[in-house]
Amino acid sequence: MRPAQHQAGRRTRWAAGLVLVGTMLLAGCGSYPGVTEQSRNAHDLYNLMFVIATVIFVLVEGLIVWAVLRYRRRDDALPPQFHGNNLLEVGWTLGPLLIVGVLFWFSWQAQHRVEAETPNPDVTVNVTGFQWQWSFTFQGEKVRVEENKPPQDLTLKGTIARPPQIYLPVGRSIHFNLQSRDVIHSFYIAQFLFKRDAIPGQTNHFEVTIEKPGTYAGQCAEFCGLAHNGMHFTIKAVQEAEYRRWLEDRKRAAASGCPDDPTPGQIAAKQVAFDKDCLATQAGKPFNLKFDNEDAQPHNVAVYTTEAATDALFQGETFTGPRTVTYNLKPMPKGSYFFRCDVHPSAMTGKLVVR
Amino acid sequence: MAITEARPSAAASGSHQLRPGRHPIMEWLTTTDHKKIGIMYLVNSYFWFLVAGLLAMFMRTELAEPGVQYFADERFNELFTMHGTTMIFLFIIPMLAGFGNYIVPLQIGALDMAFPRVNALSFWMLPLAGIVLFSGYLTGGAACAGWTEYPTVSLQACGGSTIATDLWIAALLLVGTSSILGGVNFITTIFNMRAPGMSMFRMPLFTWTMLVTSLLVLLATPVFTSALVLLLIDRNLGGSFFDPAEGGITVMWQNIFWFYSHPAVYVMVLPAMGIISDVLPVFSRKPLFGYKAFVFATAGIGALGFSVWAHHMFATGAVLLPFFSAMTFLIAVPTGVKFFNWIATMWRGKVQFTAAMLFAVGFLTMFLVGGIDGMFLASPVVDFGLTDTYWVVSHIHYVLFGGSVFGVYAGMYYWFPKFTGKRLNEGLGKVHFWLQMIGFNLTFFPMHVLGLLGMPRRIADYIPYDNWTGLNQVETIGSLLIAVSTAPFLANVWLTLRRKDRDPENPWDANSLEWYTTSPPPAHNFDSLPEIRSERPLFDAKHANDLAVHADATTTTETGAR
Repeated sequence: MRPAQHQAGRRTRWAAGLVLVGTMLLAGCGSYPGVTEQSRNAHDLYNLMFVIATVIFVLVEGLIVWAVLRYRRRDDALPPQFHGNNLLEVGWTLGPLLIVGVLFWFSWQAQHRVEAETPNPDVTVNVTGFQWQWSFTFQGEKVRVEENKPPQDLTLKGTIARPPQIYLPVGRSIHFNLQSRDVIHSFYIAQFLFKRDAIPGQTNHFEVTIEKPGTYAGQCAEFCGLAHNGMHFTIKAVQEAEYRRWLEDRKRAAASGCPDDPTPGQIAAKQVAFDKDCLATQAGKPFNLKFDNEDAQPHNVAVYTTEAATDALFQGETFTGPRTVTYNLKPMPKGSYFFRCDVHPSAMTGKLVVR
Repeated sequence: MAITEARPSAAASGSHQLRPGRHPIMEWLTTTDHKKIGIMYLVNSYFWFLVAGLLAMFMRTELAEPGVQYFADERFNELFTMHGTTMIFLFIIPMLAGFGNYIVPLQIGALDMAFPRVNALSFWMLPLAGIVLFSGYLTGGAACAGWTEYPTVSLQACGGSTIATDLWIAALLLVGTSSILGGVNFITTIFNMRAPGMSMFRMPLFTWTMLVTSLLVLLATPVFTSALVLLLIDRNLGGSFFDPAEGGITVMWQNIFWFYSHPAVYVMVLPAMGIISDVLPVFSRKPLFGYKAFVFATAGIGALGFSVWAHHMFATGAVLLPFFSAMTFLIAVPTGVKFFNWIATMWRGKVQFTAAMLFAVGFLTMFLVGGIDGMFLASPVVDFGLTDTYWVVSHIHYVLFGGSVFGVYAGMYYWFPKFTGKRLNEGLGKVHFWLQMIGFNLTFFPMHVLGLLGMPRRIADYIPYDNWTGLNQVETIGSLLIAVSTAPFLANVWLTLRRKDRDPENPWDANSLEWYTTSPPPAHNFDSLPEIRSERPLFDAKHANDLAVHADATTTTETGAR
């Protein structure tokens, strides 16, 4: 090999090496890896696409900049007037076709793995989105909330002021069923590299196995009205034993009226949400309920026998805040009742326990 | 007939009025001249561009810091709804239609559009639509469910107003009707009113893209306007098309909406591609490379555009068909062909850096990013993570701002001397370009990273510990730069209009038919027409005796029906 050729060859190899190293580096700082088994597929596919995208980007932008600078006008002579080249054009039709064909194939294979579901998942969580929070029901985790009724599945419901935090076990298959009570929401956990819509009139489902313990923030990703950005939640991925302890803890709390609340006779409204979804009082005694409306919007508290809200036991005065009013409720018999704000019947609801 | 032959000057052809002696205001209000209507389209659309840009500035101001400072949820939701709606329906689509109105009849040697009165009607619906849309603010608050207006959120009342969404529907029905009428008009004009010799494969690419765009509009827009009526019925007359509580299907809206709105993306981009395809050859002093491939790629994008709509809906879990993923990947191919052809057009040319050319090259460099980051969303697996995050906001802006808006400005600088007889100032044009280029990338590139970090779109507030603050601040500064960049442009237009002296009739040495007549053209457009033997009739006339050039052209050309 003659020296000139040799040098050219070395330069090409150098350039190729640089491009390769550069793209690997770029791929490394691409999407951060997900924490579920399923998200590894998305992450790998993203990185493959990122490398291809970087090569295309550098090549095409390079050609544009080269063409513009190399062929800038220096004189007024007419350049060669060529109109096309069939071979080249076929080439740059087939090249991209091949690239997208390969990408589609990998994407299709990954989709099978991401969509796969086991017949008997270890944990099933039924998630309901509503304006503007989430409720999580742990299927099969029975708890007797009221004395005279059959046990129900453990349900945790968040408020904007107190977003829910749920625990899930690592290394177990977790099946989510998604529903919505009003408008379309989207159940999105950034570190799962995944989201799926919760749509009224349709149940969506997906399955994940969390591999890495940690605390993962979730948020509604589909615009769902006024307080869309208040629909936060947190998933804490822990070992099986800790998850079981947490479940038992929640069940005990659910069975005992209003858990963890030193002032179950007070409630506040802020940003079209109650600060709590549980109130408690004693049976056979008058109940003085202190209601602090911090919103410049009308709210009230009304108590009904059931969630259907057909028989009202008490309907508090509706007023615009900021103002605090004490409602005087008549004595009630033992039981569990339903309360809500009559102005925002789907967003502001909760349970009144009389013991 | 040679190009050097003396042509009547603008002054000699009178005041361009069909009926001289009428008051200028009455003339503009009642005109059916496609050039005047085109100008009104452009001015009206640019006005709404500034309005929608202002709304975007409000959003960026709010997002500069976590917490709610200036616009609480209720107002913020109106801002992004009105920004998107206004930019898409009152700016980009009518702006490009405005260029089409002025330029298409001139490019094919016609004396007006086929239906001049219908043309006036389609224009006058647009300012009306804008007024109807923004009148929501007078009822207590504007529409607030996003420009996509997904039910069932769009069936609910907005915070401040119960009828804002109905006004939104009414405004879009007007825009839709205007588009459909315009589409019919363009198709009829292009099919029936071409000058002798102007065969289909001799039409400039801008006219071709307007033809394909009009076919898309004709096929897709009626579907959308029907959906709007269904939504109106659901909201006001107790219909139950989209409300599952009444037995309706919520996702149905998304299918119909995107069946229109995905082709609409091409309605917003194809004419900009057409502008670029006219500008690049002129300032490279070469013919367009692969003219026919361009036409077929444009038609291919139009056809494929109808089979990819569900990629907007992968997260709904209702349409996880590999079909839509495959089609979405496939649509990258004709776009890729165009890119290589554009580059080959500049290859071995004589590239001249006018402001129009800078914006055209800006289109190439920026639209490429929008094409590449869109490819990620074609894969459902990757899309699950990225959809409805700022990645998508970035993608749409690289396509519609990096693509369409850069194309619109390329067209403005390129055709301004055609509209007025005077070139815009090149120095101010370059300041405009660089400010906008830097501002645009500062605003929209970091959004990719925010999307990967998981920031959802359409939120007024974010939590400080998410570490999104720094990037949001960079974006806010960038958006300020974009706003500032319009100042040199507006000053440029103002100063140029006030300037007394005129530029040559064909200042760019361009070769398509619109440059054969005077600048601005007389009311009847052409006093005479040259012989049309290729897509560059003026070039042929100039080099009629230049055998070398001609031999080169005829041996390699594929253009021109024989």
